Amino acid sequence: MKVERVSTGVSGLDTLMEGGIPKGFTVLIAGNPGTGKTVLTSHFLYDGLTKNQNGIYVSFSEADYSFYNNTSRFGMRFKDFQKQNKFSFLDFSGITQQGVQDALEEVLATIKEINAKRIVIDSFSAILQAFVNLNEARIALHVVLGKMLRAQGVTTLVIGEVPMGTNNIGSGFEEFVADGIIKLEHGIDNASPFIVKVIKMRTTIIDREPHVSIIKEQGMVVLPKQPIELHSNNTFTRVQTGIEGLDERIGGGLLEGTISTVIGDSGVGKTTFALKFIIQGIINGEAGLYLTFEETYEELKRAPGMAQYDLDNFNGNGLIVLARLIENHSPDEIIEELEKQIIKTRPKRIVIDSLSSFEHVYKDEMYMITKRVVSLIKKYRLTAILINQNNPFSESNQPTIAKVSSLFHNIIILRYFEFKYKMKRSMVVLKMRASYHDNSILEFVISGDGLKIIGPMNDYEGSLSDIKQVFYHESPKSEDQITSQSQQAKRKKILQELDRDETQRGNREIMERKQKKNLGIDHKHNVRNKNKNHVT
Amino acid sequence: MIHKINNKNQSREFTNIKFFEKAYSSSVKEGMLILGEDVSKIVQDYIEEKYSFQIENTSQNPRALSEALHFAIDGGKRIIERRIIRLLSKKLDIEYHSTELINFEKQIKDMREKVLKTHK
Repeated sequence: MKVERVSTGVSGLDTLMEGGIPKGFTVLIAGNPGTGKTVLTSHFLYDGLTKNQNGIYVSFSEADYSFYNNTSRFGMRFKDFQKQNKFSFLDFSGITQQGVQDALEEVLATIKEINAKRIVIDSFSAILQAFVNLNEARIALHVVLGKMLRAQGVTTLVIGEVPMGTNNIGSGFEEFVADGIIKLEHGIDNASPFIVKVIKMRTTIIDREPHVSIIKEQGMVVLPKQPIELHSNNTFTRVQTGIEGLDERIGGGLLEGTISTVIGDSGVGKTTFALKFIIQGIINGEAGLYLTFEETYEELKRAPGMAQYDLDNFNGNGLIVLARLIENHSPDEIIEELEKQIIKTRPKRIVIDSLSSFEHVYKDEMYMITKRVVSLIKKYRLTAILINQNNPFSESNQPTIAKVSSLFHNIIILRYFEFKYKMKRSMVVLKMRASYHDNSILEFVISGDGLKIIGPMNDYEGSLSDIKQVFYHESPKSEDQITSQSQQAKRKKILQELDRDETQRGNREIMERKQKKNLGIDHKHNVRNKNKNHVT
Repeated sequence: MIHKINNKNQSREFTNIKFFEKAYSSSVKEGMLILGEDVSKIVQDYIEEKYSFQIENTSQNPRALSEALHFAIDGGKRIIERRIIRLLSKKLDIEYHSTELINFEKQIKDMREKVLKTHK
């Protein structure tokens, strides 16, 4: 038998319970103060009014003018329906506990009078006060709400107040009397956005996962979660990264539709890498979406290596930049916006700068957030770079990155290392699924031209280790032996000598070139000879 | 003889009115108990200031009580009115329909009329 369902009127909430609340049910809406209980229940009543299902709001805590003011902000014109005798606000806010039984009588009379099909009782806690013992309350409520209202086909939402700092739904029995329970909670650190959970709904298959709810101009919206699905990508088409010296080391570029993570410390060049990748796409005629949580568009324009490009020329011409503050948006909200943008702008490349921004606020949910992001990207077959930041003061990768690394096709690590009292940068392609890649540790620089690979670091070792200090192989002593202060000083001296030799050699070459020029010797011939000598 | 009958009728009417007013006054007092002292005082003060009579004496002007209740507790007045009607119906042994909406002014007037006619 098909169950007739009543919409909650809240966008995104009905889908969590097979399309709505079964008609005639009594559902407990439990939540801490300020989590949107009144807004949710107002949506429920207003949705009914727009479908010719009259409604009643029974309030033991809020005066009518306050209700009308608050709901009119969301465009709900309850007063218009009240004038048409389709809606009644029963303001019982001044009533003490002895009056509650009369109030219930009044409610039943009003239901009959206006032929109401939806009721909200705000709140259960107030009704409970009327009864000396809980068993009496249970029987009364079971009869009034569970039988009388259901018999008349009236669907009822009862608000349950959950005090701050507690996690109980009610006094211990309303959760059993109610046919369904929807719980509202504050978000992380008691901040917005809120969390909605459908805990119970008889005769209904429910989505028990916590969902994010936000209150916007139109009222409450429950955000859907990006479904986690398997998507396969069998293309062998290559996508140029735009990083000079990288593509030829990874088989011509990233495989189209793959997801890469670029991991590195702050300032090592992740953003420059990602911007280069997006710009290269635009140059090749592929739109690119850049989602940043840390910089504005103006700041991106001034990123190292971006001076040669005028991002304004690309912006709107293939480049889409979304700058958002993670503290103001939930991951589900961002993923939803991202999908809308993807559908609207049809990009081929996407960058999220950075995925680890989520970690600051949603540390425990990182795996699922990453999985949803990855699923979305795969769904639209985008080639993606997801930036992950190392903690600059941590000696090793953050554990979260290790947990989610299996979700990426490619992993590229950028690191600093110390050499001769200077910081240098290294890059290693750690993983590249279904593709050849050079295993060398590459040295790269960031200059006015952007990020450029110099070449493999054959003469160094340890640049990927936690010590981040490298030595020449030609070092006169084994590294293990260099421990004492005198040995350190000796090493320093050797390095200085090497530097001096290099400078002297450079000066000598310049002198020789000048002399040969003066003698009128052919320049090409000169270079050939020089190279020959060098090889010898 | 006619004069005597008239006097007897007037006396009975007077008794009935007294009976009704006593029942009404008692019902109002009981009904108002659920409001608590502070709110009750607001209602009483409103009636005394605006109409110059006491709350118990509103049987001939139930609108005054209804107005004062609305001033004090807005929509909650419906509970007090219902409660007073219920209590008064019981005292006067008049049938009370709990599933019907209350029209306080009309129902009080109807009950008064009924008492005047039926109680002997």
